Amino acid sequence: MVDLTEAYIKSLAFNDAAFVNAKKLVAGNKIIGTYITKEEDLIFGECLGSGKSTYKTSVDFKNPEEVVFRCSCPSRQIPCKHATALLYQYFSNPSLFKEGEVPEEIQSKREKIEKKVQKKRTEVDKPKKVNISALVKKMKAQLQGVELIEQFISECLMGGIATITAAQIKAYKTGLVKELGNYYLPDYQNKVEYILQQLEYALRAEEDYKMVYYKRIIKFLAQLQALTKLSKATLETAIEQKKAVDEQSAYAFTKMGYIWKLEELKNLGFNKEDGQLVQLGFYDYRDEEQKAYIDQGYYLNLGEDTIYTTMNIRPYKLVKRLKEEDTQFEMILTPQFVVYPGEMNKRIRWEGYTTQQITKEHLVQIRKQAKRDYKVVLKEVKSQLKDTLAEKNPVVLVHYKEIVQLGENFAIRDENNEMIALAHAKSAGTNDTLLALQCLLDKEELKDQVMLGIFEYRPEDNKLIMQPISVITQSEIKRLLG
Amino acid sequence: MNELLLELKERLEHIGIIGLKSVTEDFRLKKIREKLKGLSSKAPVLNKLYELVNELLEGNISVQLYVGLVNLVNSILCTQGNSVVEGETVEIQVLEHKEPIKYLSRLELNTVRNTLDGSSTGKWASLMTAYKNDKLIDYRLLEDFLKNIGDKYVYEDYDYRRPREERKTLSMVEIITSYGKPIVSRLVKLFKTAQNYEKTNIVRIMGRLNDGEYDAQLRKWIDEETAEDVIVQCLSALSSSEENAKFLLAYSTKKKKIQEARIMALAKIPEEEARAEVKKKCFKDLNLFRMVFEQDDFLTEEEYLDLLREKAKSLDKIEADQKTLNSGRKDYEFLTFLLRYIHRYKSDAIREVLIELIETGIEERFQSREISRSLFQMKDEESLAYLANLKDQQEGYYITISFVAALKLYSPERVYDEFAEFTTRQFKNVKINLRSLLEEIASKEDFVKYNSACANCEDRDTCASSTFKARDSKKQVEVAPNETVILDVKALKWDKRWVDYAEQMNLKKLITYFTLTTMDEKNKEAVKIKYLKALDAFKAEVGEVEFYPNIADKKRKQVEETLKEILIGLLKTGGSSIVIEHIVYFSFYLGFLEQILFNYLEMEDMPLLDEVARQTEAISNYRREKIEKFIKEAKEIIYAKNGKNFGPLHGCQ
Repeated sequence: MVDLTEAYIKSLAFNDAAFVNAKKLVAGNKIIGTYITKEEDLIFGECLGSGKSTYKTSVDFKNPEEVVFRCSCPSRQIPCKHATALLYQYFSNPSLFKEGEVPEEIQSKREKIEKKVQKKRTEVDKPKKVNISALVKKMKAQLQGVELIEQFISECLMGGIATITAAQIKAYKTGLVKELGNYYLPDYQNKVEYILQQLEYALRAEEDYKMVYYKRIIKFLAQLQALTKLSKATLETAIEQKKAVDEQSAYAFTKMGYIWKLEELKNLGFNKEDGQLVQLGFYDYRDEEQKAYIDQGYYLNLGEDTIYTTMNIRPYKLVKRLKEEDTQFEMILTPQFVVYPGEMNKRIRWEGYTTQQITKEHLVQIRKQAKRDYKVVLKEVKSQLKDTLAEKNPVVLVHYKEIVQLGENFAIRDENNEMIALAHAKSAGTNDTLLALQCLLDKEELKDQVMLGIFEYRPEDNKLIMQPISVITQSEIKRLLG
Repeated sequence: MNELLLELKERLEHIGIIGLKSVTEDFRLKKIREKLKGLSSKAPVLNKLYELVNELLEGNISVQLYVGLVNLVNSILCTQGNSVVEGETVEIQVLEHKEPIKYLSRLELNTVRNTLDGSSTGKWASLMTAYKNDKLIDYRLLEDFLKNIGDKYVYEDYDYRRPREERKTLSMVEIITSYGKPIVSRLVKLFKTAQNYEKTNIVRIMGRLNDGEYDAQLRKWIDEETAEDVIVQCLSALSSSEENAKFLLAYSTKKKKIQEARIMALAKIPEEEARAEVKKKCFKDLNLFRMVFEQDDFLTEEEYLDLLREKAKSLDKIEADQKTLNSGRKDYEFLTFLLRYIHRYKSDAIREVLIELIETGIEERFQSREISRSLFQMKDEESLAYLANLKDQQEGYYITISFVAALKLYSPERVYDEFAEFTTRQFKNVKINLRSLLEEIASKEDFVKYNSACANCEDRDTCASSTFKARDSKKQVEVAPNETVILDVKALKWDKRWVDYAEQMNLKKLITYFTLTTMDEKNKEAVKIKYLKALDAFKAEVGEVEFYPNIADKKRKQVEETLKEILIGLLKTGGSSIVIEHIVYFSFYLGFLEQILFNYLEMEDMPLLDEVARQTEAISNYRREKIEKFIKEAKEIIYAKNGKNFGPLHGCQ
């Protein structure tokens, strides 16, 4: 049995409401007939619902990194509140659990899981043979799709985006957008739809705001064009060489919106062992382009100086069925995690994990990874920003000699008195954190600490600013964002 | 260089908006090309830009070229971004955290944020729940609260089981204030761009946090602002200091609301000049006085006493026949107000003045006898004893207050003995109604409030909390909070007295109570005889008058009620056979039969029901059906309780 903590159970819960409801079930003595196996790898019991019959629920720790929740209730949330309640019941009062045998039903389910795991292992050991001719056929279709998009961009810019009428937008929506569905380019489909949506907004907007939309569209079209260029080159090479995604083309395919399976990334070597991941910042935002809510976390793997990103993408259509991520106050221990191809803050994912409390020693390790020379930091950030296709809000862990207030503005200074302006990075979709910075830091913490910040370039005043996400002191992580 | 790049960016955007086809004729882009040409030798990237722009203008109208140029300009601009901040160094204001900071999780933060986006009371109920669960005070939420700073809604906890003073209130001002002083600099910044309704809340928060350090800012706003409400708030937010006293004494305005706020602000300052100014204004204006007087340290006892005497004296000058006090209305109101706050100054001197005012007849000018009420509020033995003796004045109100005072001082037995004579008299304008008091005591077995008897008494709260509780045969009498007397009902042998009293006053409930509980057989017989007499009198008066079933008929209802009382009284004093004789007789005309039966049903008198059933054969179908239905149901209840073999047990003679 893993060491249970309230934070760990909360992190496993489907969302905050599910956790709160689970606690209510426990408080209301709704969990009855609870058992634990001799090996302490399974707890099971029943939960009183609103109807006559009870729900049979269990939490399986056979693989401690991948806890399996089961319940006979009709909820689509996994874990449901009943299973979470069972776990919480065990956490709050384990003496209520009698020793019991593994029920047959669960035993057979365990066996099925075991078979699946075996199958996965074989896939990693012996990668599945790719049907190259089918893949080439698919890529050719994609290439056709990309060419259609190029044509769309060209039509927009040659005639001028201000001349596009509502009827044209409608025609694109019913024609091009639908057609792109046949070319295996869901990401592009979203992007074109987003542009059309912005064009619609521009048509409806007041004269002053029209320009805001138009400028945004021009920038977006230019980026899309750059992406089509990269996509075309990548697809043409892949078709010509008749090969699937490899290490070289992985970045380009990721940018094209390729949906990676974890095994694929592992097979390409994009993985790391024994992750000790500490979440240094977390927030969520709406991404109109992807039509989804994004839960974004920033992690540091102890011993590395890279800030990784986690992205839990919850499309609007599936928002009720997908688990929401939340602030992770404890360290994630995972035997393996995969790293997506990317820039400074590569996306990571893992499957099974346990948690551990963050100690002062861990904080020392984190603080050691902070970059101390702002010249180097800014160079690195700018280098990413100038890449048209790169993420526009890189995140960096920096050490500061002091935080200063100059007039109404804030900045951090390094030991060479180089400065980074602190401000709200609006384009990242974050909440402002400067007030929280003033409120959460003690006087002595204004000096010699480590800060995680998200960068933004503001063309209107030509400023490169950083928004503080968290401050890592000797004793705690001061979370300014979430 | 940066300006040029921005110019180029703008131009390219413009071209994208109107279309690339006309790019060759764009004279502004041509100008930019010239500038770029001049700079092209300085950096390779500028040379690259020049080449691309030139190519575009030369007629190579290609989307690829255009897009490449846009992306290049954007990329170069990003690398140009500077991260330097300029300005004077300011000390950063931070909080001193005495306790470890608690962090809400992101989802919890989102819940509060989403709640804030909601509307009306639902939103505030949720915020209150969050507040109670300690989920509202997280510095990361402060920005969100500040966005709602203009919200003036004050939510009161909906738990009406709690007394009002214990109910928690919540408002945006309270929430933001709880974040403490570090937010003030932010508030000052916010003030510059805020609307007037937001400004008032900003100042309210600052006022709550002000220990003097924000006075300079507040004074500045008082001088600069034009909105009346904002100035009023600023004045009330000022702290008590010498500097503020000087400022306020020098400050003048014609606006009444601001003048009042100024005096209120001055009243907080103990400076002599400030006090003098406050008194000067207040003594002329009761409203102002009232507001200022809320502040405890405004008047010393001596000053209070002087004022009391002064106002009473001026009242005395008014001719005796001017009872309405129109000419002395202001002084009258002033004096009334002063008397209401007498509890702040409980001293012998005050008592003496009050007694003097009562004895000199000044109090007669007061319709509600405020002076004796104030004396009652002194709550000391001397005052109460004085009041208890006032009953001898034989005036309705004095008997009332005297009774309440006596209740506080003496045992109920003594009170009863001393006041029994008044129960038989009718008083006009009797504020405390002894009759209703005694009736209340008698009619409720275990819990009697006598607040209704103390109507119009200032001590109403005390009265309301005073309860008579019965424990077995003993009554625990709480004459005042934490002050109880055990009253043994049986030992007192009050029955006779109650019955006599009931007869005199025709108190139906009293009879009902005592015939059911403590009345012995002898007394029961006496009461029964009285009821029989009443029945005869009733029959003689009413006769066999037919009443139509019109519920709005007041007289019919009155007659029904009287008859019902008589019959129930008879039932309960053992006269059930007489009741049977009359019950059907009257049921031809009146609609109370079921009710009487229902009352009697508690005795489970089967023979009575049979007798009624027999007699109803003679009456009209409608009435009969109704009564038969009732008898059927009643018998079912009795059977259900006792089984089918239940036979005549008692009751019917």
